[in-house]
Amino acid sequence: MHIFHQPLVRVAIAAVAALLLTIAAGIAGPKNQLVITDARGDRGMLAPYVHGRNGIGYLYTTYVFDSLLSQSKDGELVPALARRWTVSKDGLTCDVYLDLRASWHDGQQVTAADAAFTFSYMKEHPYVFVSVDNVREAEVVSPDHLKLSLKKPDAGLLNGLLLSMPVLPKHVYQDVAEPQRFAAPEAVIGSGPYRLVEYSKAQGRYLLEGNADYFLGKPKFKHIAIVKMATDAALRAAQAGDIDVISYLPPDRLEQAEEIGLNVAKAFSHHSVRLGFNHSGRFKDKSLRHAIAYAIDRPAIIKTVFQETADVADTGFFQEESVWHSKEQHPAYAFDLQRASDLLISNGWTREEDGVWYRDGEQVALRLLASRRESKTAKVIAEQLETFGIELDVRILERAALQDSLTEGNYDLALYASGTLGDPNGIMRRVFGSKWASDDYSGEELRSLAIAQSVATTLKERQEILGEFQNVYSEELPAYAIANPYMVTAYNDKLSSLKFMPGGVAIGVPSALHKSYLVD
Amino acid sequence: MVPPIILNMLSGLGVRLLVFALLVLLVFFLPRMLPGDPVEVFLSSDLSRNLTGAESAELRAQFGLSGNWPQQLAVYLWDLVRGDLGYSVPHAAPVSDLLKASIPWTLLLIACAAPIFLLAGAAGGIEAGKAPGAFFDRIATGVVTVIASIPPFTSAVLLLLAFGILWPVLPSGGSEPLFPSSNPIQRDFDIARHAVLPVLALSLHEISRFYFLARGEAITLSQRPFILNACGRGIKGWRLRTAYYGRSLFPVFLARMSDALTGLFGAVLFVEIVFSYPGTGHLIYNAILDRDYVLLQGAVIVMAGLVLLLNWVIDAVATSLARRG
Repeated sequence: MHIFHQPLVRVAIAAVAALLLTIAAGIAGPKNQLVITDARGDRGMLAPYVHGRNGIGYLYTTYVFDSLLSQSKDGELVPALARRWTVSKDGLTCDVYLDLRASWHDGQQVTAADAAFTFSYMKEHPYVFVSVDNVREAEVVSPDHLKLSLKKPDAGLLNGLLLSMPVLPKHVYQDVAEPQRFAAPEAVIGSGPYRLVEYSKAQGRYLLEGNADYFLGKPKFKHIAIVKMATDAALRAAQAGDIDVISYLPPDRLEQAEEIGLNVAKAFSHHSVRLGFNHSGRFKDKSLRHAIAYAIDRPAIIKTVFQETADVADTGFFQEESVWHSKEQHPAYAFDLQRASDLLISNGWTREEDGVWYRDGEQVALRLLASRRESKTAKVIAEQLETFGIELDVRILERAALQDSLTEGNYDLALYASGTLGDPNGIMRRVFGSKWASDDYSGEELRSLAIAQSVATTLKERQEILGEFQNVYSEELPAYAIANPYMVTAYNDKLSSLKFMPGGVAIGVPSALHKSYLVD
Repeated sequence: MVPPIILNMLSGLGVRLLVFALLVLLVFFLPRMLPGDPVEVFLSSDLSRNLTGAESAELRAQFGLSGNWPQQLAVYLWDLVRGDLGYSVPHAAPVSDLLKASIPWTLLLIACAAPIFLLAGAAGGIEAGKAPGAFFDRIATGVVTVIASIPPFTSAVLLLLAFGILWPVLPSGGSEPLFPSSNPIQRDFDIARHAVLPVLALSLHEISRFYFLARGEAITLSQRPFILNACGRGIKGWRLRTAYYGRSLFPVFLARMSDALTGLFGAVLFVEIVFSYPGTGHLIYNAILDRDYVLLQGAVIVMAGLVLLLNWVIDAVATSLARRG
């Protein structure tokens, strides 16, 4: 009996001790620690070659790795590792002067040699978020002077490449042959305001520590923890004061967050939900694309699917409030079934008495592909078009299967959400690319505008060309933008007046958690 | 003379090795038949740039996707023979490391759930089978029938809803609090608290199987002379239930356990997903969505190997016990 009793007593003591400790732990909430929740969790280790290949993984990595340039809270380019830079008149050379106060997390100085090394390293080991293809040579003139020569002028050099490319420590990476497999602790030696001290993949938890030697200011927090937590749990934890930031709060929960005393930052995501057309199939013809656009009632979609969480999107690619959005009005293709009918009839479609559309004696049936996230929108579009007499075969597919069907061209219409932020050079892949969330369009007029803007030498010239691009885009309609959803970040008083970064963080991540908010 | 248990084990080994070999092949081919391409899924973010042909080919090679299927198969089998489960590019980690981090959590759930459903099933079943049609039997059989009809996924969600959200007395997800305590006692306590709901969900799924088994056996046993004799001698209560019914049930339970294992390892997958528990279920589920072939292969092989191994040992013991009578 003795043997049975002893463990029971010990368990009881442990339970009581545990209870007391829980209470104690609840009281102590350190002020200089910030806890950010992420609904998804694991974004990979925060080093350039191993973080998750998505915007959030990239964003977290910017806390650890600085680039040559950075952004102010208003989206202006500001010095980071480079204290000053000049671009030659012909746009073919760029002189970058490094700030020699900067140091790596292991204490070594950041010099032009590190930056030059990064360019050559990324040529050899492609980094999926920036391309160094246009850099002919990166020459170290002196420890603080880097000279870049380019193959052709690049209007996105500063706003794209130099802003987005994380600079790697030469002394760490020079011996790494396979950076995709380099996840040792040294892999996260960056020069950013925070260093990664703990990463638990299974729990999806990061612990960052303020880099006291950071040359651009004192980190606002001694520690930042990023933890995986679903929205409901995060709201409860925020109310209890256990967490400080809900990085992406579903916009329909905004009021709930305000009720429990959180501040909210709300902005357009510029991640527009677009109806794409199969340009190598039936929808090669622009007037057919217009017909579909007129047959869709976008305000009704917003009302039934999105309510307060999105607005009707701009049809000219760039969305309202974007720095590149031209002030001109773009056609809205207001719901007009008569116009849609006329366009279809002029295309040789016929409508029978039963109200159904036929082409060459066959009933028209279109295949619409969408992911689960866009399934509601897809269903409403299907209802609208079916009411108009066009039969729709809606297929909701999981991500990989959807990508497969889209690249195989096995569709007529497709719904996808894709970003419009970041440097405008992104339109090359977002409009003309062949990746699944691209418009996969090949019109020459639009393409030449996209190329012209990329080699424009002044900002004004670039903006003018992009203005024209938006006119042509809204007329050609490579894809019909349906909705521009909002994004919300909720936070408590440990942070003040967060704003979503205009133009997106670096590569175009819509986020209110740019590192400038985390440094004094 | 060779002990019978060794003979039993040897006879069971051949067929299991064959099953394992088939599995090794199946887990190579099945994922590749799914629509979708691992590299495309990996780079599906619209923020990532388009890779050039050469870059894309290099990435494919890192994914173990260079060459045609026979070539990939050869590399995969050769690595496997050398004990190398491969490298998961999306996770930027060797598959063996990922499994080492997640298998303990899965085993914890199974190891905690097994005694619960075995003991509760046996106790309930014996009680009901001793006097079929009596009050306890009617109530218990009714309740267990209802439980048996709920799929594991649903019962997990219901438990989560009841005790994690509506009446939040237990953590609703994960295996540990946001910040695990540095105090080992507190940490163990937290882990136990987090395991309660998943373990319960898993036990509920299995309890009915063993309840009905025990009840059926107990009804038959009640007619057997040694039980009638024992009752006649005035043996009752705890002793009757354990020494007489319980001991006779043991081999039957063990035999059933060996085929319940597969179901158990299947159910734990759903339970882990519902409770965002960081076990292998989560890993496998995401590997399917990400088309992470290498991880999927490694995880399935290790889990299947584990199931086959346990099943082999349990089977051999059960056969030996059954022979003894």
